[in-house]
Parts: sequence; C-alpha cells; structure tokens
Amino acid sequence: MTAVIEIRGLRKNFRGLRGGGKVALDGFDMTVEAGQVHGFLGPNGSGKTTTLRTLLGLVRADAGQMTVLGRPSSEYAAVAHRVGAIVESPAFFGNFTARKTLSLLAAAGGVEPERVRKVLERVGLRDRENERVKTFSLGMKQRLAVASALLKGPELLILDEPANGLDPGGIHEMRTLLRDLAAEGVTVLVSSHILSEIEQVCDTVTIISRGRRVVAGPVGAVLAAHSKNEHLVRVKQLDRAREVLEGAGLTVSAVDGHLVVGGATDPAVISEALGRAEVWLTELSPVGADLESVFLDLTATRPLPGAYRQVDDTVQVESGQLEVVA
Amino acid sequence: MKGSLLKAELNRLLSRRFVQILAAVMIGAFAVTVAVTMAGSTTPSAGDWAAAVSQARANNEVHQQLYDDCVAAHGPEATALDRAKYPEQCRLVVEQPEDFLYDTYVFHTSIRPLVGFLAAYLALFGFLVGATFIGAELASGGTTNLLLWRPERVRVLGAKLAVLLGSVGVFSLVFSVLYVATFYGIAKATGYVGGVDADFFRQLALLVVRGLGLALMVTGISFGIATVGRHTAAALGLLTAYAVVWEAGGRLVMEVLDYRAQEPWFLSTYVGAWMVGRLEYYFGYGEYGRIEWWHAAVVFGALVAVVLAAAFGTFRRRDLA
Repeated sequence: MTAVIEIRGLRKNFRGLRGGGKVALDGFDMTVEAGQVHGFLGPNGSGKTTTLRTLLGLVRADAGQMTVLGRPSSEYAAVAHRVGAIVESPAFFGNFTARKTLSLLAAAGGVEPERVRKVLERVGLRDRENERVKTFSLGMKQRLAVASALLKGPELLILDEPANGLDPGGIHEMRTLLRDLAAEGVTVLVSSHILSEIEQVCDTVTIISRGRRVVAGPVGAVLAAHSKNEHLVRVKQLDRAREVLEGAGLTVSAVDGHLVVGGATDPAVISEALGRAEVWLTELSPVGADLESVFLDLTATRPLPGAYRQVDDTVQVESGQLEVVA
Repeated sequence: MKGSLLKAELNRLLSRRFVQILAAVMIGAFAVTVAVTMAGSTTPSAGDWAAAVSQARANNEVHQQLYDDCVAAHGPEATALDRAKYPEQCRLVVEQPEDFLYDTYVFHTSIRPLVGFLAAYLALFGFLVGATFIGAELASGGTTNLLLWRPERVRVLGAKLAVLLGSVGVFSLVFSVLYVATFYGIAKATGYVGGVDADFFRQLALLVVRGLGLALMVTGISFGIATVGRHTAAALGLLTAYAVVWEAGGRLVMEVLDYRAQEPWFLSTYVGAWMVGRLEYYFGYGEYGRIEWWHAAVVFGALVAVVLAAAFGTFRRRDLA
C-alpha cells in the first residue's frame, strides 16, 4: 500500500523567550497508508496537534522528515489542494456568514462556488448559511470547520478532534461521514479523545505520548497484543469454582458476582476443569481489551484513586522500546 | 486548482464591517463638512468687496513697513538692539482682498488646508484599515485557515498587502477628487473661487498626490506592525506610545535640555515637510534648518521598508497557532 503520510524522526521544541522550552515532539514516527481511516491518539500535551500543524506547514519542525501524498513537506504547497484539514478549535472571522466564510476560501483555492452549498448541506448547516459565525455554537462552528475541510473534495482529510462540541446526533453523523469518505477512497487521519468512536471507525491507530510513538498498527492487532488472556466466568457456586480453578493453576479474581480467570489461553481448560468438578457454567466469555483500557495502560494515564494525575505524568517511551504491531 | 488570491482578498477586505463603517464615517464627515460650509458661505456683495480691498490695502501697508524695518535691522548699519527686535528672516506678507471676505468660502485660500486635513483623515483611515485587515485575521485564526488552503506565506501576505494598498489608494484618489471638486462647486455656487490657474491646480494636484502617498505609507506601516504584533491593537498601541512618549515626551525633554535642533528627530516634522515640500525650523542665533520633501521620502521609505521586511520575515518563519 502507498503511504499517504510518512513521518520519520520528527522533533520540535517550542523555545521560550528566556531560553529553555517545551519539547513537543521527540523523534516521532507515523505512517498512514492510502485509503485508511487512521486514528491518532495521545494524552493532552503529547504532541498530537503539533504533529498535525507541522504536517500542514503551520509549524516549522526542528528535525525529521515528512512526506504528504508523496511530496516532502517543503513541497506541501504542491499538494495542498488535495488535503482538507481541521486543526484544533475552529477559527473563523465572527462577522462573516457561514456561506461567506466558505466562499472566500473557495475563491482563494479555485474551488467551484457550487460546492459551498453542497458541503454546508452535508454537515447540516444549509439552513444557517446566511447567519454570522459568531452566532454559532461550538458544535456548529465545528461543523463549519468540517465543511471547510471537505470543500476541496480532498484525497487526504486531517481532522483534529472533529467531534469536539458535537451533540450525540452530530457524533453519529461524523462517524457515518468518516465511513462514507473511506468508502469513497479518501484517506482520513483523525485525532480524537472519543476512543469508542476511534475503535469503531478506524482501521489503524498510532498512539503518541510525550512526543514519541508508543504503539502503531491495525486496531484489532493493537487490542489483541494487549489482551490479557482473561475470561469472564459466571457460575452458581462461586466459591467452589474458585477453588477448582485455582487448583488448576489459574489466577482467579471475583468481580461483581462473577469470576475473572486469567492464564488460560484456551477457554476449554476452564470449562473442562469445572465440568470434572460438576460446577456448571452459566457464562464463559473472553474479556477483550478495549481501546480505552489499552490507551490508559500504554500512556500511564489511568486515574489513580486518591491522587490527581498531572498532564506531564505520562509514559516516556525510551528509544528502542517502540512497539509496532504489523 | 489555483484560485484568485487577489480577488478573494479584495472580497474579504470589502466585506469587513469595520472597513465599511470607517468608509461610511469618512463619507458622513465629508457630507457634514460640505453642508456646514455651504450653510455658512454667501456670495460677496459689492460692499463686501470694497471693505475687503480697503482692509487688505491697510494691512499690506503695515506689512510693508515691518518688512522694510526688518531688512534695515539685518543691514550692515543696524544696531544689536535692532537685530534683537527682528531675530528671524525677513518675509513680506502680502494679503489679498479675498482674505477679508469673512462670510464667504474662498476656494483659492481654503482648499490647501482642506486638502491637508483630508490627507490626515486618509492617513488615519489607512492606518486603521491596515491594522485591522491583518490584525483581526491573525488574532481570529482566519489567516491560519487561509494558509491551510494556500500554504505560501509570502504570497498570501503579499496579496493582502497589495489588495490593501490598492484599495486604500483607489478610495483615497476617488475621495480626493470628489472632495476638491465639491469644494470648487461650493465656491462657484455660494462663495468665491479666487485666482486659480493651471499652475495653481498643478500645485494642488501635487498636494493631493502627497496626501495619497502619506496615506499609503501609513497604511503599509500599520499593516506591518499589526503583522509583527499579530493583533490590530499592536499598531494602535505603538502609535499611541510613539505619540505620547516620543512626540510629546521627547520634545519636552529636549526643551528642558535646551536642545534646539529638535525637529529632525520627529516623524511629524517629516510629515509636514512631505506635505508642503519644505519645512524650515529655527534653532536659535539666526540659524535655520531645512527639511525637504525628499528627506521625508527617504525617512518614510526606510521606515516602510524596515517595518514590512520585519513583517514578512516574522510571518514567514513563525509557528502559527
């Protein structure tokens, strides 16, 4: 597959006026293949937005190589008309109407004016096109931002938290939109904190923490790689079942009226051990990892009882420890 | 898929409510000025003329005497006391009868100060439009959105500057022509045109052009400062700081230090020299300094070049939020 985005060794340090600075990117790598919906995840302050801004030419990297649609970042202007993007909070001039805002961009970019109405309709703003942007709610501004990204009919769509501020209906529409775009062959790079959405929509994912890649690969493979081989067991005789399973060398913990059994790669081991002891199962199912738990574990951002986690208390990946799931 | 950046930016500029309001205020203020002038002007009667001619003659006799006394005081046989009475250069003031038509708008004598006034208004207009056109876009993130479409920073900023200067230039030119024509019309209808010839209009046209030049230079400087400061307020703040700290405060300090050759240190001096062609300033002991219009052109040209170079340089390199 052709890589639409390739990032190698990206570094960026935002220097302060009095020296020092904040290391936003510390040798970050990412690859996005053509036709994929690629999720880009990371805790607050991990470097997601800096990565996207650098990709789009808004921020100058200190080091590293980037290519977009086969062209190096220094030639981004040559492919900009094929890329649609939203970066962070949508920023529009408040006194212009939605239609005016998009018309000006269309005129600057050489897009047919007819597309303005089409994209406004697609994002649900057709009836608000003549209202000034400053009267819009956050969610409506976000829809306008998505419209501006779609205006070019791009091959590559880069969306930084596109569901920010959207109501549940809007989030559902966003999910549908991303699926439709992928079906049309558009490559989508989406950054979001709504991990359930990422898990449903994305083909592949990259997780970043403190400016470095923590893990990358197909969503299913990432989840499988972090699965703990645990099974949920429901029985009527909990204590007897626990005794039997621990006797079989398995780890057992009781949670909310059922057992979580670890150490059995094959669930038949569990059912066989219980069957021999005439303890009958009512439920036996694998406990799969979800993206949220994988994310929290990999970035060390799982809440600690009785403590206030700080944004800088995330995992620092050491060189050579980068995990890539093929 | 290259669109017309210039067309889009012109549309953007003309759509800005603040720009529309400023233009409307300019036109409104002009309308009020015209109405007030017309209401206060009457065509001079024969009696008015007779009185004016008589007063002009009487005043000119006094001026001639003063001039003769001044020339004598600067002559080889003058005493120190005589010289002390007339420290400055001798100038013969000749007043015209039309200067004494008190209830009449006289085009010949009034139009030059009026055009100077217009130049100041156009400069202020250009300053505000220049600052807000880029400042508001940078502060709101609109420029970032535009750069996502056209990631050619120098070209984008250049297009904005070109559209700004072109629009302010065209507006200023059209407004100036209408302005002069209207006041000429008022003098024809309810006042007195005075002695105007081809040379007068040539001089007047030059004054109008200088006013346009001033407006464009100020517009460019304002645009540049707002670009560097990333906000409209950067230009407004710097103007206020310059006026208070340097133009007022600097002059005060120089007065206290009895430093007389102050004028070359202040931009307002060069504005005056640019508009009238030459400005002479007295710095004591019979010494005069002179600033020509081309000195002003060099100073303003250098200032515009430095500010715009800084603007393009910072805009090209800075990380955009």
